[in-house]
Amino acid sequence: MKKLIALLVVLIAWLTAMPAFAAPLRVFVVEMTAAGGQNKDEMKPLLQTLLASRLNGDAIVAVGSISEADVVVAGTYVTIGKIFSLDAIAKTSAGKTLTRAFVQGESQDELIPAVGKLADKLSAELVKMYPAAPAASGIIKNEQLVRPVPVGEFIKPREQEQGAVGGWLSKRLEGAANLIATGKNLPDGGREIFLAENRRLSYYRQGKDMKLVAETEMRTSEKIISLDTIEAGDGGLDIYVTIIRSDELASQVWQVKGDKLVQVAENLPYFFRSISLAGAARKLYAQSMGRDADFYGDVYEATRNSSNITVKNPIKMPRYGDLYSFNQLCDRDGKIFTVAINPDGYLIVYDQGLNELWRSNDKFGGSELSFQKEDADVRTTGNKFRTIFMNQRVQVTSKGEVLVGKNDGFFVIGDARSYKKGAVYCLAWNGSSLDEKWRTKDTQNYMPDYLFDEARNELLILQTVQRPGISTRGASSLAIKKVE
Amino acid sequence: MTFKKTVAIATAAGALAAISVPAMAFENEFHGLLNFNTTFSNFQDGGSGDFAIANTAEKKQMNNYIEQRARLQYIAKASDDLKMVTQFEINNRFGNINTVTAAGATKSGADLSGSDLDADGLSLVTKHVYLDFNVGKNFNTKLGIQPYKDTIKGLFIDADIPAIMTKTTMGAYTLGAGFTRFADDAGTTGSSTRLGGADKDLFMLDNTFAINKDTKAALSYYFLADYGTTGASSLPAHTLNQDILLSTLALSGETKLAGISLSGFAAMQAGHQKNFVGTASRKFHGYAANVAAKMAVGPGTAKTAFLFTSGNNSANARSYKGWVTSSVNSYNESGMMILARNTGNSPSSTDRYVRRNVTNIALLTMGYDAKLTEKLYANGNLGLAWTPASGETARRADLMGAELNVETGYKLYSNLTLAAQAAYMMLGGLYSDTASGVAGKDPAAPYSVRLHAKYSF
Repeated sequence: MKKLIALLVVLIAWLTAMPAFAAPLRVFVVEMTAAGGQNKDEMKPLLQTLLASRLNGDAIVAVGSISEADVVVAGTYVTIGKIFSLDAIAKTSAGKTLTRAFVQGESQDELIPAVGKLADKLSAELVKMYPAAPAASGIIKNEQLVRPVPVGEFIKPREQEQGAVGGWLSKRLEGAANLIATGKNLPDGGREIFLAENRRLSYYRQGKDMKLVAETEMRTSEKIISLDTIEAGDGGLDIYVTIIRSDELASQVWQVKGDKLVQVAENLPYFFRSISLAGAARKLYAQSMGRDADFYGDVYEATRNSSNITVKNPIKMPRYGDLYSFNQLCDRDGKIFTVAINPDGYLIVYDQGLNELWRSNDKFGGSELSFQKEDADVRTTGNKFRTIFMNQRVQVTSKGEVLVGKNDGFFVIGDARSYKKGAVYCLAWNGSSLDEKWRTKDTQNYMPDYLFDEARNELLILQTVQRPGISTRGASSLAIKKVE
Repeated sequence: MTFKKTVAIATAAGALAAISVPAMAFENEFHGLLNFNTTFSNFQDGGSGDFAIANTAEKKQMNNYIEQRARLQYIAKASDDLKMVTQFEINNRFGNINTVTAAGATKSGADLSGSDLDADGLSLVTKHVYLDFNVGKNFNTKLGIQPYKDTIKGLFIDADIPAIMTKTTMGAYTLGAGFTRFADDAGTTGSSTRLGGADKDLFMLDNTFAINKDTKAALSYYFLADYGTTGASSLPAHTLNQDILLSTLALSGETKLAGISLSGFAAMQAGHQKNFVGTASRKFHGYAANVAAKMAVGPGTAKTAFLFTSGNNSANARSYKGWVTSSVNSYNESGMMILARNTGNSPSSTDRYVRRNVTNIALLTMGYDAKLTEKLYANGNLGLAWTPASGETARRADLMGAELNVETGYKLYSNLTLAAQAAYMMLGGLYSDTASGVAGKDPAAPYSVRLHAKYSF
């Protein structure tokens, strides 16, 4: 009997210890600084890579960006004569110093083994300090939907119960942004981020914090309704800003030059969107506006040559499909289906002939962003402007997963929209319908836009923390969650 | 009841509930508005219709009054292809006591206004009630009391009508075909008591072709068959057996060239009215044409337009050369507040213009709508009007006058705009020396100053 009890105790101890192994500590190594010696610039990324790969292990995982890290390691490589020293400091993502370590050697031949020793020292200290905590990325998976009834009188958010805050959250950003787009990844693990308010384009560098680098303001008569980025022919980054001015499209293209935003084209009569159709490579697509139709005709692949836009390879749109509401998905047999979100918020899947195959029972989408055209029948509507609402965009990953945003509101009637919380849903096509795979926790604010960075497996969720007022621009925040 | 029966009933109820699931797709859609309008004017009076300047006083007292208009629209969407649209309206003028009994009656009848002490009026009216459904992918039908505006900017008809409308779409081509019966005089003196025997019917055919993204063209044909016993307020007057059969053919187009939006139309009318001069008919020969341009300039939009609608300058009683309308039309493009009906400037019951029935006018307008900030706007319009048929006064001059109006507004919230408007019309030679009661004096120049709060959702 005693043996049996002992066995049970061991088994329980083993089972309870399991979660500790389930979520290793996430460490990000920033680019090292180098002093003395030759080839300093080459050494910096080299040492960063070497240390990151040697830190990686069972208890520690070296992540690719600062936003997903629990611990940030910075290092210095100093050479004086033949002697070198590698010094490292580990800090929490909030900036609190955790530990320091160093290794020194006498020749370049000892450098690589020295990096290994440094990693061992750091790992040992970090593992001691951080008994691994379960990850709380803010993603709710289907098997986690059923939560135990909380014990006690206080109901805490799940992530607080677990004692860890998932993902990365920016500070309050000035201006209620409607749209988000990402640019290039930065060497320090950060990335370029572009945000657009009604008529302001802002360029941020996201690392540990969001740093505003440059911004530009459009005319009072212009309104930004879409913000998209795509690699330009010259290797730079084109920022497509779709703008409505006096009922017509007057879109612009901007580029980052140094720390400035520079306009490279304007008055383009197209809606633009960069999108990965069916999870394939991201391309730029364009659609026109008609005299009566807000989104006229087919969607085309677009390329820019200076101020000229060339369109080719038209894609027919299904009912309710337009440049911003549609995407494509591919099933196991390689068949392409079109998915679109209709104005009522239902997801609809169409077959190759653009016939409706399936429609969701739940509503998705919801956006406060709109543009107006002065063609309403004012006698009937009481307003000479007709409001056309944009919707949440549908993204499809290379695995065929369909991502869509959803906002809920307390006052969403007719053209009056005021949403209060949002979430991103991931669905997968099972051959006959879209099944939910996971969703994010509801935000505490309206979610005007989201973006899934598939290369980094990160979800960027934009939130409006304060709406624009009579004399204020409002405020936003950006949350980055790791999709696991 | 046996257990088996209970199980069977429960199963049946479950099955019914399951069958009913598609009803979950039922959508309720609401829209509405509230316009609050304070007016200081010497010609607007809370009423509707043409304002005849000639023979009015040299000095007119200013009316000051407050109106409000609320609308509630409910759309019951059974599916993407079937919906019922209803819209109701509540109009009030502060202090107005309007009863169902004859004019001048005391408050003994039911209060239609509800705008007096203790309110409680019967002021809800029906604006729209219609069914909107699709048959297949390309055919849409609307049945019931619905809004309709012609393809020539509303110059023939822009009204709510009881109608059967259909729309067939074939690629870039759209065919709108419909019918409305907007008056039935059955049972009036001398007419048939048979329903359908003394009607005003209008048949509408709108062929629209979207040539490309920047250009569209429309060819419309409207056929008015007026077998009524009385003229509608602005239709040519007639009595029993003076039936009017009138065809209107209109070509219109819209395009965008070098950043400028251009639009225009040309329309002609032909028809006759029986037994107008004895047993002889009179013929109709009406014309209307328009050209307009609009482009983005600076922080706003610059607009200009010219409209010509013929007047009846025929001395021959058997020939009518004026532009005949359905009696409810509009010309919103003008941006006018005094000269011609612009429904954008009729936010409440006040709907009075020099040409509320827009005909017998040549109107040149220029305007600029500026967006000063994201929330503040300012618009200005200038209009010069002539009358093609000078029968309105004995003067030989054709110039009706010039209107200048300005508007500024502030978007307090995304759905609430506070606005102020002012309009003034300098009278032209047409009205010289036509003041009533005083020889050799001009009537008072019309003006209006209004303060608005406009809420819509």
